[in-house]
Amino acid sequence: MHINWWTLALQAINVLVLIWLLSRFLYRPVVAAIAARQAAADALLADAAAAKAQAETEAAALKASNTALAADAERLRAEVRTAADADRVRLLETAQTDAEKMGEAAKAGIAAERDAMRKALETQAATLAGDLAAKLVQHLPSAVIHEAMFQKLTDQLAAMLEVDRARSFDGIALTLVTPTPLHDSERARCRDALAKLLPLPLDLAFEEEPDLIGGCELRGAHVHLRNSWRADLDDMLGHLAKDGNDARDA
Amino acid sequence: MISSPFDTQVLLMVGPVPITTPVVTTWGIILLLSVGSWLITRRLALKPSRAQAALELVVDMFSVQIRETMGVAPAPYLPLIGTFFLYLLVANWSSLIPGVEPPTATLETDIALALIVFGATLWFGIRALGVNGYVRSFAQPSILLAPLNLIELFTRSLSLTVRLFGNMMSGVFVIGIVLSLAGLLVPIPLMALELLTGAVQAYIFGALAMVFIGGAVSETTSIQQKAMT
Repeated sequence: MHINWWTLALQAINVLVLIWLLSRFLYRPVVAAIAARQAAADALLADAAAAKAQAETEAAALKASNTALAADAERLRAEVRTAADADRVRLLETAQTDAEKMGEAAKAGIAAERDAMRKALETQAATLAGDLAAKLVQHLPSAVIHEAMFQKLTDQLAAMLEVDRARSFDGIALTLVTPTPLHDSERARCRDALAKLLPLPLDLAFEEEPDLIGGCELRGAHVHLRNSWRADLDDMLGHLAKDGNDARDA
Repeated sequence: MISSPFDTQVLLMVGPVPITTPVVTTWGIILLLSVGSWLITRRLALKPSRAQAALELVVDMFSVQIRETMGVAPAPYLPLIGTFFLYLLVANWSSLIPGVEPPTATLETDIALALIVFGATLWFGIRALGVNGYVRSFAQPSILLAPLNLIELFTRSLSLTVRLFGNMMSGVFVIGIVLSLAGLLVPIPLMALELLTGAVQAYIFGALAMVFIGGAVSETTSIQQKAMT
């Protein structure tokens, strides 16, 4: 057994050279390639993580936006509901007010129409009463009616205080109005009767007015003493109108 | 066919230097591995080809083995351990080529490899702790064990040599004997067995190199940890 030292040294050198060569041409490039791939993978993972984080951030922002939009929508709905309720109440109030106004207007129209109708009826009643009274009077002697009615007129004058008669009739022109012309005797008798009650001198004139129907009236500048059936009818119609107004007001 | 396990055939003389068969075979292996590596690694890409993927798989396997066996970062040890495995694998399997004798079947090649492991163990241990610290590491865990640790430093290198040489030389020798006695096809099962033996021996040599170097580095690490505490 012997050892070839040259071979041993050459083999040692060969293996060391092979180590250097493989380190240069094999391990270093391959390790670098693996490291580069690992770095690329890490970069991809980092990018993916960043993209995921960004996506999560955007998702959170969208969720927050959706929540805000939902809140806004709910607020707007509440506002719309509130406005609608207010409008409904206002419309109801307006409609109620209008209805009340229309009711009042209808009532007023009805009342006016009723008043007009009543006035028309009263007018027709007065005309009819006048016509009826005139027809009834035609069957009575006018002298008797005139005498009775004139007597009532003089009774009214007599019932006044003398002071009042003097203040009302002193120095004024008077007219005695009758529905039919008086005879001279009747005029003289009327003049005499009035002269006993009124201050003298007495300025008296006579006129005819068929609308009085019956009786007589004494008219002066400031005095109008009525004692005719027309006056009575007017009083009765006035009372009827007053009673009707009172009943409507009640 | 080799006539004696300890004889090496001199092919030529370069001055006083004899160029033997294992040296020439090793040159061929160097050329094959270097050119092959250059051809594959000259165009590396992020999307690897099949050859690149296979090469990355091999290199990554080396890194994983170094990390798991030595417990350290594999980068400083990868060229040494990886080259041991690749060279031994190709060298052992070179016997399949007719007329080629594996360089590992010669004692000089195995001694050279063992000496490199021996030097690497010293180099990495001293680089980690310095000369004094590495010398003191032989007195761990007790000064009484220093002679045994020192003897072990040499004997394990010797064991590397003997193990590799015995296995490879015996395989080649047996195949040669059988081939000379039985005929052409009879040694084929033995050659297949030699393939397995060659791969196992390459792995064992690389694993033991990792263990020896890792032992030096781990002793250094334990001493540093004790010094820090």
